[in-house]
Amino acid sequence: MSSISIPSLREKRMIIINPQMRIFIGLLFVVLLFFAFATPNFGFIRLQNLNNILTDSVIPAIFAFGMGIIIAGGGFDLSLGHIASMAALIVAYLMSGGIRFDLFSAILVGLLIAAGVGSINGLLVSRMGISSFIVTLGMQFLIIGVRQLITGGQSVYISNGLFKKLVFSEFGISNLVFVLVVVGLSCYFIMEKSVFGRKIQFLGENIEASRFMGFDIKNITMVTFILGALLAAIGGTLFAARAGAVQINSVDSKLLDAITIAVFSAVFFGRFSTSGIIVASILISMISTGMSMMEIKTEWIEFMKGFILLSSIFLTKYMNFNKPNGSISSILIGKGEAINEQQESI
Amino acid sequence: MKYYLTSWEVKKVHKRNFDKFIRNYGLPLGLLALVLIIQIIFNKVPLFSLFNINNILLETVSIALTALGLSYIMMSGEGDLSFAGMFSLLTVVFATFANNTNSFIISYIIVSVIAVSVNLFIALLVTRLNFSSFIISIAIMFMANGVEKAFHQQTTLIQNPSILSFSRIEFGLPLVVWLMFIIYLVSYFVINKTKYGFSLRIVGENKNAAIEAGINSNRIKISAYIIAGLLIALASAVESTRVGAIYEQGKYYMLPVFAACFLGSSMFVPGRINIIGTLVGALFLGVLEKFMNMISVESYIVSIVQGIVLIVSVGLVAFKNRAKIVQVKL
Repeated sequence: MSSISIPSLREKRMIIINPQMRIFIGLLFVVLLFFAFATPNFGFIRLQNLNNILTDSVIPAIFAFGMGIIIAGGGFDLSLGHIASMAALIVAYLMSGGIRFDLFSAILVGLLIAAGVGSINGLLVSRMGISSFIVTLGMQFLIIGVRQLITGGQSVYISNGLFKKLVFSEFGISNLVFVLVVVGLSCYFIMEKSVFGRKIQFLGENIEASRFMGFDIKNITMVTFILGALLAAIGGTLFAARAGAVQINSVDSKLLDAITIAVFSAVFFGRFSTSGIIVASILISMISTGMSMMEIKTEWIEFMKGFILLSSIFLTKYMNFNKPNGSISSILIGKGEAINEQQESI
Repeated sequence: MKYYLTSWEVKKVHKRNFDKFIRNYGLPLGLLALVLIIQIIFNKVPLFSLFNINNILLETVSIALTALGLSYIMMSGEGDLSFAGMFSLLTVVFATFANNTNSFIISYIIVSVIAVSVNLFIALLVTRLNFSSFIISIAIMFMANGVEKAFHQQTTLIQNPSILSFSRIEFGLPLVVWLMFIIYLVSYFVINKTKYGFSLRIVGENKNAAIEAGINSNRIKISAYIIAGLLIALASAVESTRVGAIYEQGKYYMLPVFAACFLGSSMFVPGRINIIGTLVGALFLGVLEKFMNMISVESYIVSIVQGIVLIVSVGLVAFKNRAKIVQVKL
């Protein structure tokens, strides 16, 4: 028997930020402190550097939104980085050379093509019943081939001034952050507040139940892949604007970021959490910036990201937030018991 | 009273038999057709001459061995992507140790120990802690890539000719090709005729039934991972001695290995991985790649074709099994 207790005002204020988030912000501060002392002259906590970290975390966060939506719907996408590369190439290609589209139509075409690729993924997964791992693995290699076929392996330079304006920082904060706010808010309302988003999350939780509820499971699965591809294309386009030139495989490696952040957030904060993804991407970009300031090779940063992915999966076993007495705070404080029973699958 | 089939039923039986025939032998026939088409198009190229067959088989060995390892893992009901990262790492380690110690045995043993211990680690996480094997192996793949790139920026050449000769010794066919065939033969008997193979297949088919039948499913899965580790170590040794110059070998093998397994699973019972199917699938992909090399298409066409082969082969299997959405549990 559990009695219902009325929270005091102080407790109410604490509830606004959920316990995972509190713990996570603590983790952020620990990492911040560590790197502050590890880098020379406390260079890590200079305002300029913190601003850079915030800017760096934008593009991975947008990728992770895409991956997060797909994971929330019970799929997985290995071709996300390649879709983003392709979209960036198309946008840059249309704006340069003899074609000279204006900015908005170029971006529109890029997004449309990415959505097309995403819908092919989604069709194969939902209608043919192939595992999403395999579909997207095949799609990854298809995209590698097709883009090489079109561009001949050359990188494209961007000369459009308006496009580059996307990454300027006019008020001290980069414009990218505002883009993140817009994308994040729309993801929040679609995935967490709308009926459709709840359907996606329920579908990922239990496909049989959602079929009996009368959801259109095939189309919902397909739409998750389209949304994921669209977000990846937005991320790729921003990356192109930031870099100024698009190499043929420049955004491929962002796949690791997307997987790491999305899985980390899914493990820590539940199926889909907008704030969770943003905070996780800030953590990842803090770690990579800090490690590069300590003059560690970039390859080790990649290793570190893989390690974070592995350990975040590891955490789920002992920190199961979805069950009431298994939350991380109760484990740390010692109120509840760590849940050791066999889960169905993680 | 004797029951005579109506003509309609006879037609149905014939169709069923035809379907079964196509299912069982479609892939080998496709392989044969591919070879013949190549032969007809390139009349001058002596495809059937011994040297060329040797070459094709030699190039297929590392795909075939890695795919066999993956088949073991998949037959036990798990999935794996870590081989793509591990393969590059292992070839680099092999080359480095071969140059430093000048001994095939030592470098091979070191490579095997690394491969087996990494696979054991994955297996323990998967069996004891019930993690999703795909996501674990993706993490391992990226980590292996990171380690490989940190230590290895440019191409490594293996200098010692006696080590390089490992994949050049020939008794009619190259030694490693004989080795591959023997390993496949042994695997065939192990999987189809022994108690171990039977329990492996049960564990993959239905884990709960296996537990009810008194099979230690965790031990079976761990053993499958260990076998896969040994096989990928051998494959990387063969690959590094065959190529001699090592630089990021793994990225060429991610897709063919997967495709070989799934292509093979479309033979016999659709959706079930089997040893002969994997071998035929690997040979099919090897011949296809050789064919595309011969008509000198660009390397990107190769990746397009392999991607399509993977999706189509899995699609055929899934479609026959009444399409049902496969979800990934996190």
